[in-house]
Amino acid sequence: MRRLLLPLTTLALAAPAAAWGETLEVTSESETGTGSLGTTILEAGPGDTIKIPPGEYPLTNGDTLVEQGNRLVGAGEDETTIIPTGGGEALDQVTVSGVTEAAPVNPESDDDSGLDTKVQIVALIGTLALFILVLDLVRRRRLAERYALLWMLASAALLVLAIWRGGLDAIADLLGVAEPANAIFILAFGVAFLLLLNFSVVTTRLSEETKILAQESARLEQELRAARGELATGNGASAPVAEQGEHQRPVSAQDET
Amino acid sequence: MPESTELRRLAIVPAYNEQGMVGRVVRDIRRQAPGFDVLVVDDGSTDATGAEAEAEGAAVIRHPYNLGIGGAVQSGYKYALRGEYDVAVQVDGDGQHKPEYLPEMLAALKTGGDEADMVYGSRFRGDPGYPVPIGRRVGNMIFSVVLSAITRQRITDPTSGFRMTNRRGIELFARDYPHDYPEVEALLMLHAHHLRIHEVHVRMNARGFGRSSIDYPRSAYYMVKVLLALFVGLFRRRPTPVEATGEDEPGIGAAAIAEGERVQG
Ligand SMILES: Nc1nc2c(ncn2[C@@H]2O[C@H](COP(=O)(O)OP(=O)(O)O)[C@@H](O)[C@H]2O)c(=O)[nH]1
Ligand SMILES: [Mg+2]
Repeated sequence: MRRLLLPLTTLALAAPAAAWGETLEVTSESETGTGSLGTTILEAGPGDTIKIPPGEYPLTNGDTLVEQGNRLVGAGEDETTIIPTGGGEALDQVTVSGVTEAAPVNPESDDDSGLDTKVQIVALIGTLALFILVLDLVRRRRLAERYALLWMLASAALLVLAIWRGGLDAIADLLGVAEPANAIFILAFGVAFLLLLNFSVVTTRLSEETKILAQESARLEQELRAARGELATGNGASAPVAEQGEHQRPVSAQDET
Repeated sequence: MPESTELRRLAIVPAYNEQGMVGRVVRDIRRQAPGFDVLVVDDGSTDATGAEAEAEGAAVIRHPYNLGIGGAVQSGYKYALRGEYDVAVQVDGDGQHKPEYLPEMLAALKTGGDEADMVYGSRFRGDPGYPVPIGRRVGNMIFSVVLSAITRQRITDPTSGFRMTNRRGIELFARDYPHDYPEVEALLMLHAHHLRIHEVHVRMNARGFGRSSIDYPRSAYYMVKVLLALFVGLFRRRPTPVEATGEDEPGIGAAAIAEGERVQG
């Protein structure tokens, strides 16, 4: 009962008063999810202390830590290790004790968020190739300009997002997605969906137009055959007489008898 | 029949690969309803459907490729509109519809009098004349309930393609006709444009050979699709409703008028 009550009261107090100096404890060594270091930091208020039991803990985002001025307390230098995966500068700016700081996993990256550099390069090459492909298709007149515009906008947007990490982060934030990479997938899916819908509309219109054309060409062909039939009987434009031509032309019932 | 001979009447026969049957249909129409011109719409058949119809003296429109029953029937209505026909009737090229009913249907049609704008032959008002497949029966019943509710009149055979319509119906269908499995939706169109529908009982033949466009595995799909079409159709934007005085509508086109003159000349 007390175990349940304590965090509840803590929460109740923490929310309105932003109580200074609570202590939260990390319970999971994974990168995200309940009890992970990252989540605990997000749950912590300004000035809170975060206790970290023995184990290895990845730390992706350290900005919040600095903003809130949290204190990290490990179980001892030999016991608790923090592995920075996004640069690790944050650890130098807050009070840390009883923790070994491992070498950053991703040393080249000086940005602490966004896509991995590797993914970024792949995305860059991919979107660039797409962009060039579209341009080439337009150049060779294999793609009408009005669709080209659509595709070029789409690939340009992807290109921008591949280069400009901040943009992707902002979008990820906006969509409430934790991983910027997922934001790209959601965006790409949405765009692809709309493009497909657009093509269904275009196809519908095309088949309607083609139907009308087919009907018209069939009618013309019928009229041509009928006219030839009349000519062949030497009857010109007058009422048809020959067996073949008899029903080719709209004949009134009177003419028929 | 002094009054009715003044009417220009057309039988529209949609036919898709109906070689061996369509010739007989044309012959039967000409024998049993001699007041009707016969137009066979060869819907991109790969057999000799068109030639066979022509040999029996029908006018033949040949679609360059298969447009489906909706496109085929609409071609017929366009032809009827251009040829200034007063009455058009659909008679399937597969021999299911018996031309012997044409006079009775014509008698019920409004062509000066005050009857219906569209008269159609229902096989479910009495003895259908042949054992109707169960899938067709079930589907038919569902559409029957839905359409009867919408139109507030008893529609017992909404999938029957045996239909006769007057000038107003011809104009409507030449302008706009539903695509696949069009029979049910076409009834809805008539209703939306305030054209009156009338049912007469007919017996039909079993399909001689070949496959109906509405057969088993497809009948479930057909039902869902048509129900959806009905639902959407309720909200669909329609071309301007045909005026009640749709007799001599302007805009039929100079070609049609020229054609009319040529026939008389
Ligand atoms: N199945 C089918 N029939 C077509 C097509 N175009 C025209 N028809 C003609 O439409 C008529 C009715 O077709 P059918 O499949 O028998 O429909 P049902 O009688 O309502 O089951 C027949 O005379 C066909 O030859 C087409 O694309 N497919
Ligand atoms: Mg049939």
